[in-house]
Amino acid sequence: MGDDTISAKDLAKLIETLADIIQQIGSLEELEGWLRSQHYIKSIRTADYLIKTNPPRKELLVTFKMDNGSTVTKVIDIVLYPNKTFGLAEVHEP
Amino acid sequence: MSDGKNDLIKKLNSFEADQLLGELKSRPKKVRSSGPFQDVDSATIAKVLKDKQKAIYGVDDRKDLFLVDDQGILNDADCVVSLFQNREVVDNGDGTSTLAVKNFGTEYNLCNNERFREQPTGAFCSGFLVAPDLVATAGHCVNPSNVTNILFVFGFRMVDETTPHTNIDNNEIYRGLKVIDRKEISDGSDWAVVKLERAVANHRITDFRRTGIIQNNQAVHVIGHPCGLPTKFAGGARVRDNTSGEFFVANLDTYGGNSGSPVFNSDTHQVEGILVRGATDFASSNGCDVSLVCPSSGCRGEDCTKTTEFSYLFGQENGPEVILLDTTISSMLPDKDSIKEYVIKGIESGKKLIINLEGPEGQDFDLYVKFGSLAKVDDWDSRGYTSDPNEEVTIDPTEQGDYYITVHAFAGKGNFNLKANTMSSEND
Repeated sequence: MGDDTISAKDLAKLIETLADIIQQIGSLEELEGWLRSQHYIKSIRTADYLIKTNPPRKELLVTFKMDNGSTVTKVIDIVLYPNKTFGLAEVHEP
Repeated sequence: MSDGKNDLIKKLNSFEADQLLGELKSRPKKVRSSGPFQDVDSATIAKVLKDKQKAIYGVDDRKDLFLVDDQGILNDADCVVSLFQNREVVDNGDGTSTLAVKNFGTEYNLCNNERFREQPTGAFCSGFLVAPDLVATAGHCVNPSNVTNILFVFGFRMVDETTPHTNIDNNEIYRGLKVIDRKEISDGSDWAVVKLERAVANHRITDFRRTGIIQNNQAVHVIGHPCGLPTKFAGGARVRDNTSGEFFVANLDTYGGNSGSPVFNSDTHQVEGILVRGATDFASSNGCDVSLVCPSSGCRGEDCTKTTEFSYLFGQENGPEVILLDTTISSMLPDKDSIKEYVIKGIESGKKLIINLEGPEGQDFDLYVKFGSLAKVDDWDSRGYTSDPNEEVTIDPTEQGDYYITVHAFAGKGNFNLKANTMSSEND
């Protein structure tokens, strides 16, 4: 539809590459900033809680603008390793 | 201590605990602190904060089980399992396995005075036994694609102050077979019920709430594996918020690794919830980390999925017990003519339904099955009615629905096993 949307196929590709992106970030704020800079992002919210796995996880609720006019929200679970690095645990539905 | 240091501590004590906590948490991100905390080192802030929390709220109630002498709590702990990745449990080839654990203090870069820093860490979640071969845990701990790579381990505990039990008898280790059902809603219901590869013979199956609501301010305690450590009990908590229908909030002392832990009603010892999420655990302080639990009235509290969220899998307290396909139910009939009633929900047509009863040797137990309503000795669709303790009924369902089963002690009494499974009609 326009440059500020993403197709379902590209969203699936983005999710596939998220693990690599997350491993390279230095902070959750950096990840949030990168996502916000993508034109197809409608909103991002960082959960105010920790998921209590070991190591624990933080959830980012991200809403994408789809090319069919709809929006899709995904929850990105980010692992917070004790050495202050990050990893992708899973991406799931809200 | 110098006068200057005394003055600094006095000044820091004038701040609320949440203000000190907020300053510590923000420090890794800021280039330099400003305002009232300028030039104050993190270690001093952390010390004042911990003393403040301890004085006001008596925080960090975590306790190793060898220090617990309350038999009710020890009974509760018997149903608790630790979850390990398959690759982190090494079979020794002699009937035991060794848990691949790491030193907690090193792994978490803990400051020298942190509790449990010399203990091993390795579990990634916790869980508890709800049926002979079913474990309940958090939905985010397991899913259908990883469940067979997860081992459910009983007995990961401290034997004494310095000795962890990490060489585990293989009889205490169970592989996940499949996820019976699961839910993972962000900021909502979060639970999973997992079928194990075999029934657990020697651990307590916990009782859990199936209907109703836990009271606000009810005393609760949690048993699990905070930070992946050997089993810890943590009491001294209460239900703070019950407004969500799916979970309640309590001021429990929990950490990453406690996900899936049973949260017990401290009066009845019935499990009320599954610990799933909560406040931040650690803060950095001069190059190492300190654990900070939240006070009873501050922070956001710890969310516990209510057990009523998954109780539909196990039936109501006064009706027939819901049984699941491919799951062995073990029970007993105490007298001649006593009965037990069950229901299997949602059986589809097109596959044969096979129900097996294994009764006590030398006794005569019978099996009655009826579609859509309670099966009775004088009202049934199919029955196994020999003079043996064991019976089998095979049904070819013509419509989808619920099948009710009654086990009847025609003569004698004793323990029995009941199991239902389906088979493709093509396999005849």
